[in-house]
Amino acid sequence: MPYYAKSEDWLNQSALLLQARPDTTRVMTKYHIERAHRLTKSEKAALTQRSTAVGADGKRGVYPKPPPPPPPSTAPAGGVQKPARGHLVLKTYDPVSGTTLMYKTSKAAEVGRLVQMLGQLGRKMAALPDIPKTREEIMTDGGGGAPAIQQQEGKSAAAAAAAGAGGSGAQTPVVVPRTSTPAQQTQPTQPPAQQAQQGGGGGGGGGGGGKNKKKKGKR
Amino acid sequence: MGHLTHDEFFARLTELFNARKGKDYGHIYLTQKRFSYEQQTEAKPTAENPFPELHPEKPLPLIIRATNGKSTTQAHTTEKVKVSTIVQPADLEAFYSRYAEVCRAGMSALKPRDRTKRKAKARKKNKGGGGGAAQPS
Repeated sequence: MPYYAKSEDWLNQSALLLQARPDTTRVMTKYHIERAHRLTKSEKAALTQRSTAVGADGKRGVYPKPPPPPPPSTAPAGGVQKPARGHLVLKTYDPVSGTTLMYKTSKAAEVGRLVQMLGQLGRKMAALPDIPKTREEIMTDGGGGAPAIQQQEGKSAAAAAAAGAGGSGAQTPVVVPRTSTPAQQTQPTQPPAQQAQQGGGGGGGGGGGGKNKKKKGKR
Repeated sequence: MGHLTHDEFFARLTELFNARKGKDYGHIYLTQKRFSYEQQTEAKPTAENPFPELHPEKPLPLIIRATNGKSTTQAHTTEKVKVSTIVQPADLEAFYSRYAEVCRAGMSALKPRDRTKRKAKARKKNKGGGGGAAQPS
């Protein structure tokens, strides 16, 4: 499955998936660290030797198992050693339909925001109502600030979950529509509205691009 | 292993992150999902309500798991760490604020915010006061 480019897209699509299948969908977060450099032959040999030695000890079973060997970061890498790189992968997975939505980042600045997103999804999992948006958020959404509009958005979101609309190029596999019947009835009329919403989002992005251009001009 | 309390869970999670800090490889997996095991709300689908799980009568708890992804086979049995906790709907806010703190502190191998651009700009500004053409950075 491809990764979403924006965490917001991932959040939106995950929310739709959760709406469709709240019982089985899970959110997995993987944090992994990798070596920044490839191991040289000698380093590899040293590693395998050490691991086989541990295995032999374990087989003998006479002595209690020795503590795990110290990390190989002490091995000389020659010159300045790059720090290990970490990555964070968020994955929403529904085992019944097989839908997988992923987002990957390596920026520490995003962690707080992402965990906040996990919290939002957690509320949906727990079947709690969303926290009502603040006035500023509603303004940026372009809505009139009326709660009725939010409800409408929720409905169209349910329809989109059934239709499996992709956000940023990454195609969401079609989730078997398990939404309740009222949402299904509204489904045929909803796709245009959904498209209009996406168009609005694109326009916003364009505006952001314009801002950047302006800055470049100043330089 | 049974489910831990929040305090224990965060203590173990911090340990898990700290164990990775000095090393240049490793994984930590965090999972969250609805906790529907042994729940009394297992209503049978009916014609009026074909998907009862979509609209449960009351909010359900979540289960949060954390593991370091080691297998239980052979040499890794002692290294495997797997902890889980149950979050009641009322505690979600408090839990996630602490969760964010622990994650932010633990995920130290991610790239810190890149401030070199801003610094370069500031330097350029200082230079730009005296000289004319700015150098491409």
